[in-house]
Amino acid sequence: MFDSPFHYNYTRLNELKIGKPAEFNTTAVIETRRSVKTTDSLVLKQKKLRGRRFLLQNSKISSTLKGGATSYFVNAIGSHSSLDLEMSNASCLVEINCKGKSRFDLKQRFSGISSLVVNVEKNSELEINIFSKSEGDSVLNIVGVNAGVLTIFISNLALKKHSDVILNIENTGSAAVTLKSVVFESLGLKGMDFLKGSGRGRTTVKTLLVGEDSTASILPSAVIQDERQFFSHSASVERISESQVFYLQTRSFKKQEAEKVIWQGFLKKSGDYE
Amino acid sequence: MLELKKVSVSVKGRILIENASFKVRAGEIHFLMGPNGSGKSSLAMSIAGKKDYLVEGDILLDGKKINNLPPDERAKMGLFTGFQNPVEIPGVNYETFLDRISKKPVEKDVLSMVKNRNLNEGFSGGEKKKLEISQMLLMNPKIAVLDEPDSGLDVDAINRISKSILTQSKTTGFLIITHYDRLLKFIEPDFVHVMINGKIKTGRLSLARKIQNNGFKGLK
Repeated sequence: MFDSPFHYNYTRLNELKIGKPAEFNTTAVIETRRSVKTTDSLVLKQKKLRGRRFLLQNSKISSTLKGGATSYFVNAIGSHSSLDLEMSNASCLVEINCKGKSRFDLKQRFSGISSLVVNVEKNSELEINIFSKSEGDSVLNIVGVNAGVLTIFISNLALKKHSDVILNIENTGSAAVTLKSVVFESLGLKGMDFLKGSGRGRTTVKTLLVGEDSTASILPSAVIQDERQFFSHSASVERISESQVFYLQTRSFKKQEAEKVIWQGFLKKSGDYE
Repeated sequence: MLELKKVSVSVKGRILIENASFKVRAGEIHFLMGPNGSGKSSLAMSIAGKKDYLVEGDILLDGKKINNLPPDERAKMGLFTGFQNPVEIPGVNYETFLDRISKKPVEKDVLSMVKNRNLNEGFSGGEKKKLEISQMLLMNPKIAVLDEPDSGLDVDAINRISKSILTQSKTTGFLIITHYDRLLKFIEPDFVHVMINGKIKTGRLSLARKIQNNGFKGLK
């Protein structure tokens, strides 16, 4: 057993309706604490997990979840951890406690509810990179408290009809959230709250429609409860460029291949050339 | 060989080109000239297969009619299109792209130019044109249609791309759209086609010289 240094208010999670907190109370703890190389990886393939809790520190886990609920705790103290999840109608909760400068990568193919709960201490920096491929009705929640510098980059492939991304961050530091979505059918995005303190927040939402009949409904909301809070938001929705597709076709790319190259490029972070 | 047989091109009901007929064989260099807005780029895009244009008549590549083929099939048959304003595609690694399209190893100077860069993104107009020529050389096409490859280039750069075109012309037929007589200093075309009022008049180098001296008005 271990004591988590970070206890998020589960009542708050309940208010936000992101799952059943009771399912995340654990009786068994599996520690995967590794304090060595970040290239170290621990591969777990477990099915029908319920209430299991995993600790990550400087480690990488791959998990397959079918049904049930699982939680992960990331002890992000100057570390780089990553989680690779394949979820089918499951719930997942990842708690990240950040002290110092840390990074967490989450790659998930899922249907269900995936929740990140972050706590960034003062003078700390946390970078979160999420690559998300929703394969059924899905909800990605990011909630938490930021007193340092929080940077979140989300690449979202919306393959099915309904995919929600909800962010609720109590920000007293500096928070920048970039959400890029590629839509093949339809996408609904809603809700960003920066609640209190003298923080600075920025959200950028970019959406690329690939299918001819694809649609996106972007419903941002910013609830600022502190006049000292500085918040900016930008959003764009664009259809895949015919000029770009044509250019690649003249270089012998088939139409579908050209579209894939373009939307994969769209999902990258600025400055990422790989 | 690229052959146009009585090709007419229109867009949204407006006729741009009427009854254009000519052949471009491997080893030949053809210039396509004409006033601004005369339809030169439209002809290039219709040959490439851009679906905005309604094409009547036959466009043939090595004897096969390509009117109904998508642009990628035409490219695979050996048609290369160099764009006047190459579109930027963010996030697409240029090196990876060159590996995908090229039929020969990529030269070091080209690699150094595109290292850690995305496709056409952030390059100057002249650099984009140079890279279009590099792509053409790597794809080693049977026919290359180049839309104003010289615009935006300084005289040294024009000299360099001219040398590349002349070297490649041993195996490739070229249809080069150009406004400027600067290219004539370095390349002597085998044929010159002038597009005026939707019609094409074909001649030799003397036709280009006539335009140099008298402008397009003298031909109307």
